[in-house]
Amino acid sequence: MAPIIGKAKAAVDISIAYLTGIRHLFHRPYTLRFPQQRYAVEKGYRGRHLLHLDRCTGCGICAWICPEKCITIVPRGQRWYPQYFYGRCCFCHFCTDYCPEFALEETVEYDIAEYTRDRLVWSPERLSKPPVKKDDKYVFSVDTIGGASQVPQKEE
Amino acid sequence: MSAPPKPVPLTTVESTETSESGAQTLTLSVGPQHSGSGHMRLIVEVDGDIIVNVAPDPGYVHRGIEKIIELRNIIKSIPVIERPSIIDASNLNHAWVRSIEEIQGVEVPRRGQYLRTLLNEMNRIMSHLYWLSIYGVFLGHTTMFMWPLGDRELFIDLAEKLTGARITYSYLVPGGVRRDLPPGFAEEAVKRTEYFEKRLKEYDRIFFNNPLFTSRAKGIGVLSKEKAIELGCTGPTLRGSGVDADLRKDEPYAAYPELDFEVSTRPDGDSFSRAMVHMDEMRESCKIIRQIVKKIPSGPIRRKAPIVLPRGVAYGRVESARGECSFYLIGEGGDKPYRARYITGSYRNMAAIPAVLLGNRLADMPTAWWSIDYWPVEADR
Amino acid sequence: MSLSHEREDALVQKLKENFPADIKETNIIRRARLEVTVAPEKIKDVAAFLRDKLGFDHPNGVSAVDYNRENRFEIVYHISSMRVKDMRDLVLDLKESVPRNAPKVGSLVSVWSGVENYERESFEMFGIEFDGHPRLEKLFLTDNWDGPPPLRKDIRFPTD
Repeated sequence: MAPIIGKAKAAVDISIAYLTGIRHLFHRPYTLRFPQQRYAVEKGYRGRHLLHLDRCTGCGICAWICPEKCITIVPRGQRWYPQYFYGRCCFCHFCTDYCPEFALEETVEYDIAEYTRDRLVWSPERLSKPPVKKDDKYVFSVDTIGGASQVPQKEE
Repeated sequence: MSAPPKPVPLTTVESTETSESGAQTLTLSVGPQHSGSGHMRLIVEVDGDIIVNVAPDPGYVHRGIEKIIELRNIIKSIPVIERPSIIDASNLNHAWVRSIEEIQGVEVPRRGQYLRTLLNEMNRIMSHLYWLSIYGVFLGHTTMFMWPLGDRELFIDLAEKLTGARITYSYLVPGGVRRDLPPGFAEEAVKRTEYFEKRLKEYDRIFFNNPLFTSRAKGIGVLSKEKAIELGCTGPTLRGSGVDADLRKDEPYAAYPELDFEVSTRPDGDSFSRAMVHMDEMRESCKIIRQIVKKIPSGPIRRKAPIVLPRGVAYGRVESARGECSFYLIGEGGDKPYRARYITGSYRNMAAIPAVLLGNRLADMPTAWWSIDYWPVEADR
Repeated sequence: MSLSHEREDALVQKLKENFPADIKETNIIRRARLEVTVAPEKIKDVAAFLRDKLGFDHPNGVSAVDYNRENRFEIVYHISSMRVKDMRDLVLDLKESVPRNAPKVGSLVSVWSGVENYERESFEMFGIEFDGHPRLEKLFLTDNWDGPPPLRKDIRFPTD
């Protein structure tokens, strides 16, 4: 008798498993088609850095605290500014935390891949430009309704 | 344990040997290229398809982190300490800052302690989900591969709101944490954990109650209680063998003494027990997260801590997702430690691999092996 | 949590009573952290006593420290107890010192079988030989590594 009950229970459990799986055929997918659909990051995300040239004193604390040694201090006329090599940066943003003049800031720009290695070196001038606002029509976020969902982008 | 097999050359050469009893055995090299092992190799000796001897051969992702830490400032070491297990980054980071604070004598403000605990528990869920997805794909269950990785995104999003980074947070620093709770975090955390608990029931239905899994996991890879203690196993591996050892209860740190949770144990010590301990821990972590966002006190999140490490010795340890992660730290007054010994949960559970696999069939190896939740990068450091 | 050191004092007392000549130094770092320095010849007896009589059945790890200025290695066994539930927060550091030019000590695998991997790591990273170890081979380093033990203090790497 017992083996039959065991087999019946196994059959029920397997059917439940299949039904659970089949139910999810009709859910939205989690994945995004990246360049067309963008993942929404909030303000405060640790993307690439933004340098305020007027506040920077060129003290070099950012270069000292950088764990990956990706910052070099380069001269620009009479003053000195940090230059980032994003091939090494691990985006820990200790430089932002330790800057005594609040000259560094984190931005939401995270897709900074380049075709050549020397394009990954960001000069102080390039760092000082605020990130370009991307087309906000296709911003998505993973939500509790199951799958990726479109979220309206906030005005800044 | 019987005598280990002779090392085989670095190829997939299979050598046949005749033992004293006359039985012919075959030495197989499993790994190191993720053929059911991850970045490590298991030298398995089989008699027929019964495993008679196992020797783990780690070291393919060894980075010498203990030497790197000795040569770096204690703050600059934080990102590199997270790297061995980026899916469980904040727990490893916690062990480091805890041992530093022990030497420095810095008290962390209570709000900082709660925020640390919050990120630790979120990390525990993320790490267990990653483990579960790999377990699913090891057993050929593709749905169980996709779902946990998708649901992990819920907590990655939460962690990103809190810390600004998705996986490697570098959030815990000596003296406290780096950022305060963002507005609207509590509601979002409650919503997501409640949704996730519903999903865990679906996991039960599709995988953990499924005979396709239970028939492969129950009674496979048994690790007895005495053996687990003697080998120094830790974390879910130890609790799956029926020992209710959990540093969050035994040596309460951060905000754990004020939180209400249970240590989940299973008595059997087989693969199924270890898997269910992971599931129970995810449920408990959801409860802890909801308690934290409800109970979190106001106040400062960080206290000023010196950037140097005074003379002294500390053994700081926390319960990470894969077990106890500890630092034996010796300071000599400079800004670098004299010696930082880094012992992680996976490294300790490496001793359990032969004990779990011996006597099983080769086809049961993925079930038994991955239920230990051995993360090769974390073990190699 | 109380901050008294009664448990630790009692442990030190018991150890000193049983091994009056071999316990060279004891040090209570803080509550639940205890250091005991033992003569290398007798470490096996002390370890067996700790396991059988005092309940320290759970090895947490083994560290080797290179004090090149004092010309010695220190091997530290971090052990804790699972059997005695009140002592689970306690970590005992069992230490022994060996001279740097002849680093050879007895292995404790026969006492705690879990220390096998840690002793192998100390062997390859510091060149300390463990007598009676069942498999004293390289663990993490590649088999064809012929350089010096890399975690010794006199090995320099380009740094900041």
